[in-house]
This record gives sequence, structure tokens and C-alpha cells, in this order.
Amino acid sequence: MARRKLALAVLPLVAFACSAYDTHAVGEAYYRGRPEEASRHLGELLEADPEGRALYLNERGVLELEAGNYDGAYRDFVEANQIMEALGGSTSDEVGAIVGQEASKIWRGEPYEKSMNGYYLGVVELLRGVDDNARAGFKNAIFFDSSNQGEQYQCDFAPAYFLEGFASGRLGDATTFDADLQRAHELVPDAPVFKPETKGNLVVIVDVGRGPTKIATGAHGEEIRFVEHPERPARIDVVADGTKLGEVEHAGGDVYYQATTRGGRVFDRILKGKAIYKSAAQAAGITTLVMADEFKGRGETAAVITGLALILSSIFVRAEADTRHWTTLPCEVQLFRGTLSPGAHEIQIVPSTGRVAIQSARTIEVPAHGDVVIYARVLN
Amino acid sequence: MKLVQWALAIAVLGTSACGTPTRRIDPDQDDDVGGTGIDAADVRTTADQICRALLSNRTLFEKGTPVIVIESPENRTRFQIDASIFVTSMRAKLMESAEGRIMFIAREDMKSVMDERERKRSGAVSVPTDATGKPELAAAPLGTQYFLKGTLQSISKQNGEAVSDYTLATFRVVDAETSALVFERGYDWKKIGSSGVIYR
Repeated sequence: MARRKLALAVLPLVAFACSAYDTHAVGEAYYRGRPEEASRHLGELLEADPEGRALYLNERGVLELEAGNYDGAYRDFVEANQIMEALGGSTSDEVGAIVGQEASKIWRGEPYEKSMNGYYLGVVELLRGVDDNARAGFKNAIFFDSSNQGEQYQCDFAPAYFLEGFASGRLGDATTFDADLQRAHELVPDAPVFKPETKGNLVVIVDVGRGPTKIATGAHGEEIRFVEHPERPARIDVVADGTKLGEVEHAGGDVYYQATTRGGRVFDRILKGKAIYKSAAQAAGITTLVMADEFKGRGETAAVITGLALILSSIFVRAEADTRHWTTLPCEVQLFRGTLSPGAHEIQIVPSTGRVAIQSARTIEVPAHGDVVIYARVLN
Repeated sequence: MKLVQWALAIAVLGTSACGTPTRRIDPDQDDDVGGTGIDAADVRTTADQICRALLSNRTLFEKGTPVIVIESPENRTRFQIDASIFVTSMRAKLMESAEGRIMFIAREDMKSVMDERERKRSGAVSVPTDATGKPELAAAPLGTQYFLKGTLQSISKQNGEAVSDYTLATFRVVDAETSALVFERGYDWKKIGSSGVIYR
């Protein structure tokens, strides 16, 4: 009787805390308008957790892009890309994720995050004027938003098509531009920017709002769900030299949609199995401990040991899904295309609500031949 | 006996979990980092194959020593790459093995050249002389007879569990006056990899 009570009393103490790293604090600081604090968090995470390096580099890349540090952003996105695209995992990585917590594995991101890494590489390279690598970035964004398995998942991230085509056009490949523009138009027929008659030497890319949050649900946190943050301004104006040039428009760049339309993972079945085991072992362990009184002498000791072993095993089997995710992604990518006369212009991105990250006004030099790309992030 | 087996299994797992110290490897050897992108071996082999084919091309040498500008190949793959690495690799190989049979123009250094020409002509710096004591001043920087251009293209496939990338690197020599194509050669490779059960 005493052994059983002791065993039941010890159980809560056995439950251990796990200090998994994530970028929750980074996202919170970022959306509260404190990029320096977000950057400091990322510096600490990069020091402390090599497994999450690609995630932290992607988050830092977004901050650097907004700050206008395009070289730094490119370095971060490229290194993240190399980690995300490294295939396979070490035996210990796989064993660790299967036996222990999934979040112990190297973070390589979900397909939508790989796709967004490609998108950002493309944007940064467009801004740096390296057009073939920009095209490679958008090509990768399309690649990771598709699957060749039975043609089940075709890329529907229309901005990636438009921007791949735009980069190709800059390289003198008008055929690819026309084909990509048509594909984007087919995906989002009502988007003005994809209409063939929309021309112009100014392209404005605006990342709007807050991207999806990945959370764990289920009895043991074994299922992944995405929470949408749909808040966004009703209208975002592009103002040139104090006059409204037009509005940035919806262009089919819904990141939440991208995150939730790729079906389940093989690993989800492993987590489900672990969750079933946890529930069964917990129930069997508690029942065995409760029933231990019914046995006498050695039988009681054996029942207590068995009950404790079952409960301990249920505690040590970690069924929680990996909820690390790229927090600084937008909820939507919007686009605008218009025309400006050659020369210097002051451009402002003016949302009807919310704010523009870092700067809202900038002076650009429009060349006599060629075009200008502007990037902005609008936050609620 | 069972204990020994367990101990061995744990030791193997433990070893694989440990980091490996930095070591020097053959640049043509596949590394453990993985991925299906463009690697050192791809650049080296491409440069080697193209250079060999170029040096054995008779048309190129019909008018005497050809003067060539090598341009960075256009990247049409999904990979981020500094394509100028192909240029430097090929030019270094050709300089080494052509033994003066080809003359290259360093167009990437044009600004330095033009600045120095201006300094010499304005008297800001002295003018070097040749063996006979005559000042070495050229009427204009060298124009090229040929452009060596290239394209990197790929066919990429994935099904959520595995990725395959077929990459084709082609290089061509174009007559800078007539646009005649005097040489074209490709080199290709295909890589596949799977992500295992814990990734997709």
C-alpha cells in the first residue's frame, strides 16, 4: 500500500520540462514593431541551437531585407536554402526524432516555407539586380509549391510565376515572361497586375500582414494545425511624388493557403502511433498501480514496478509534432505594376490601416530604359 | 552477449551523432552535406570537358590565335549560383593548357584598364616602355573575335519524398563580327536524393 502511494505521488515529479527552441518570441517582437529585439533573440538562438539554424537565418533574412541590407539578406537566405535542401538526415537525427521529440531534428521547413525561401531569394536578387539568380529563386518557389506525384499538387502561388516571368523579361526572354504571365492570369483572372494589357516600368511587391502560426493539437500535441491571421488593410496605395499612382492588389499570394494545401506527412503517422502508445501506456500504467493493492507480497511489488514502467515510458515517448515555423512570413504577397517617367521620384506605400515596416517613403531613380522594383512590408 | 550488442548499437548511434572535425577532401569527391545542386565536381568536370573540346576545335584556330571574351553563363536552373565560377575555372584551365594558343580579354577589368589609360595619358603616372624604349600605349583596348558564352539549365522533379535534378551546362563560341556559331558543347549530370521519413 505504502509503495503504491509513493509511486503515485512521485509521478508528477517525473514529468520533465523540455526546453525546445522556437522563434515565437522573435515573431512577437517583430509584430510589436521591435525589429531590434527580434534580431537580438535571433542572435541568441543562432548561438544556442545549431539544429534550427535555417529557421533563424530565414527570420533574420526578412529583417535584413526590410532594413535594406540586401547583401546580408541574400547570405542568410542562401545558407538557409542550402540547409533546407540538404536531403536525408543522419541516423541519429532520424532516431532522435522518432524516439524522442520531433522538434529535435534539424529544421528544414515545410514545403511552403521552402517555397517562401525561394520567393525571398528571388526578391532580394531582383533588388540587387542579379536577374538570373532572381529567376532561380522564383523557379524554386514554384518547384517547392508543386509535386510531380501524380500531378496532384501544381503550384498555385501566382506571384512566383509573375516574378519569374518578370526576371526572365529583364534577361531578354520575352517568351518565358508571356507564358508565366498567362499562367498567373489563369490562376487569378481578376488580378489587374496579371492582365496582358497591364504594362509599366515600376513593379511594387508588398508582403502584407502576419503569416500562419503552426500549432500542435490532439491529446498529446501530435497533430499540426495552422492558425490564420487574416487581418490586413482594406487598401494599400502606391503614391508617387504625392499623387496616388494606383493600389497594390490581391495577386493570389496567400501564404496560409500554401501552408494548408499540401496534404499529410509520412511522419504524421509515426506521431499518431506514438500518441496512441502514450494514451494506452498511461491508462495501463495507472490501472496497474490502482490495482496493485489487489495483489499480495511480490505480486504487489511487480504490479507497482510494471505500472511505473508503463507510465514512465508514456512520459518519455514524445508525440508532440514539431511546431517550429517561420514566424515573420506575411499572410499574403500583393503586387502592383505601373508606369513612371524616367528620373527621380519619391515613392510612398500607404496602407489604409496598419503601418509599413522600417520606411514608408523612398526616392527611386527610374532609368530611361528598364524598370524599377520596390519591396515593402505592411504590418497590422 | 546481449549487453555487448546493445552497447555496440549505442556506440554506433553515439558516434554518428558526434560532429566531425574539419578535414581536407578531394574537390571531385561528393561531400556529406547533400542536396542535388551544382557542386565543385560539376564545375571542375564541366570546365575540363569544355576546355578539351575547345582546344581540339580546328575552326577556332583557322585565323591564327583567336581572341576570346568569356562571359558568365546564364543561370536558368532553380539553384542559386555565382555562375562566374565557370568562367574563372575555364579560363584558368585554358590559360594553363593552351600555352598561348588563345588570347583572352579580361572585360571584367575594363574599368581599371580605362582608368589607368586615362592616368597615363594625363601624366598622372609614368608610361612604361617596351624593349626598344618606345612608350607602350595602345590606340584602344583590345576588341574580341569571339565570345564564349554558356547556359545552365535544369529539369527538376520532386514528389515530397525525393528530389531529382538533371542539369545541362552548354557552352558556345560565337563570332563577334558575324554571330556565326563556331563551337558548342554540353556536359550534363543528374542527381537524386530522398528526404527520409522525418522530412518532406
